[in-house]
Amino acid sequence: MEIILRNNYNCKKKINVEEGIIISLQASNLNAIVNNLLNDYKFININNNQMYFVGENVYEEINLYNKIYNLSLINDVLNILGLDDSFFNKKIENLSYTEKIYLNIIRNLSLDNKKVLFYDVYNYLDYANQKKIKNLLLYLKDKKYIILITSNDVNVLYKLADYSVLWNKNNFEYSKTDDLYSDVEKLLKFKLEVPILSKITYKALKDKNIKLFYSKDVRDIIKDIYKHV
Amino acid sequence: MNNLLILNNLSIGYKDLIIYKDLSFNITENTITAILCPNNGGKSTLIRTLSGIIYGLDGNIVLNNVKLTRRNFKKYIRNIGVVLEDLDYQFITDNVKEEITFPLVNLGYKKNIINKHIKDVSNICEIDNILNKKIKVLSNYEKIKVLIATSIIHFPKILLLDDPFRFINIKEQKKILNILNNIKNNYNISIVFTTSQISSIIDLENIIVLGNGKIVMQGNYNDIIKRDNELSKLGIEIPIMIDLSLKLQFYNLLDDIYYNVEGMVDKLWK
Repeated sequence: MEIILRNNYNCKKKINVEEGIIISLQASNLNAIVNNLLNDYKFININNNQMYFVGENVYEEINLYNKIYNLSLINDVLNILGLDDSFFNKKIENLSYTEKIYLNIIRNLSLDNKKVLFYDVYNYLDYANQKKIKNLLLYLKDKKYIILITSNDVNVLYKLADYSVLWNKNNFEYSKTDDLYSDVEKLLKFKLEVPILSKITYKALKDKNIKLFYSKDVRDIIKDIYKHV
Repeated sequence: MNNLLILNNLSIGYKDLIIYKDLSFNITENTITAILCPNNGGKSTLIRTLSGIIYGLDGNIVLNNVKLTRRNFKKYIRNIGVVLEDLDYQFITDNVKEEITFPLVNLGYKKNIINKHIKDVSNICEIDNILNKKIKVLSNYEKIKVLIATSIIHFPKILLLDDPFRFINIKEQKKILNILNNIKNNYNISIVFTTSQISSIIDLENIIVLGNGKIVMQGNYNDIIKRDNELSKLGIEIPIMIDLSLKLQFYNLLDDIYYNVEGMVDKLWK
């Protein structure tokens, strides 16, 4: 599928995306790009800042939002998020903030649409719940969804995305995440944030002439550091 | 320092769900206290109980020598400012200046005092430049600052905030912490905020960690961070630089926690 990204200066960039991949967006003009993307391609927008509920309980809320398109998918999603059927009976006013995030995810995934944007969903959550969202993304990837993610924490994007978009003014790049985020010179040139682990590898080479691997996991880089100290 | 807020064997929750049983801790005057707690851990219920929105199931709460009871309710809440979780639902007006003026008008303050309070508080909360803006055009960061200003405009003894860092990035979190610090120092208002993120509590002196229905640990930032395994078990994420520093310390490759990459790389390969 071909997607044309537009910023608020109406500058356009084309990317080719496949089903079953996770794509991250890191850009200086992110909100405009996301809004245009939602308007142009009707992605499902899962956004913690846009959670408005009118139903009395979870079941009513989901039905008011949309009839569930794929019940088995919703059952799987409930399972991944560590919820069971009793969640449907919970009153909206008694939901914790995390449960509201989950309700928002479930009601959106009940739509008949396999293009989904997770807008900063990861950010607020603690480690245990981040793991659940990661598992959900992997599940949706397996179900051939096209998944876009944004986060104000670049380390999250580095860890989760298969492909990444980097866009700052005239600088644009779309490629495999591993390739893009291990090219620290390019990230610095683009004036975009660099993942911490990439930065350590880059600084070790540049300042100390130590060759570490680019890692996405703290445990991996520790082993590498241990060998070189 | 004197105890300002005292929780004595407090049980909180709802009719069919007790979230904390026999919770006891004190908040001293002129301090900033972070309550670190994983998601779904009862942060909002705790703040709602402390601010009198819902009643505790058992035990008692005393603020500035006033016990929270139905009879003392007005006297109790007079000393409280509170910022709740849902940003958008807390605004009463559609304009920043009207919003922060509203509590003072409601309390019957005179116009000249209202104007002085607005000038002082908008300055300390760094909202002087947005006083004439509409609420709907504000960013989350600006909304939090306005909500803080509205909550302290009557100069309470304590300001309670329910996860104020939820919708803002780390740079903005640091700026809000700086504002809270200035509020504490200039107005002697104690601050209590909840969070599930360690990045929001770096260098704080007073931290209470809640989880599994009880106080898990209490102390300053350095005390808390050393117990990283317990925090991880609670589901609280350790920021990458801290996690890496602690693990490298374990292997005797570092002797301290490093918050920036340059410092860590320099120390590793001197």
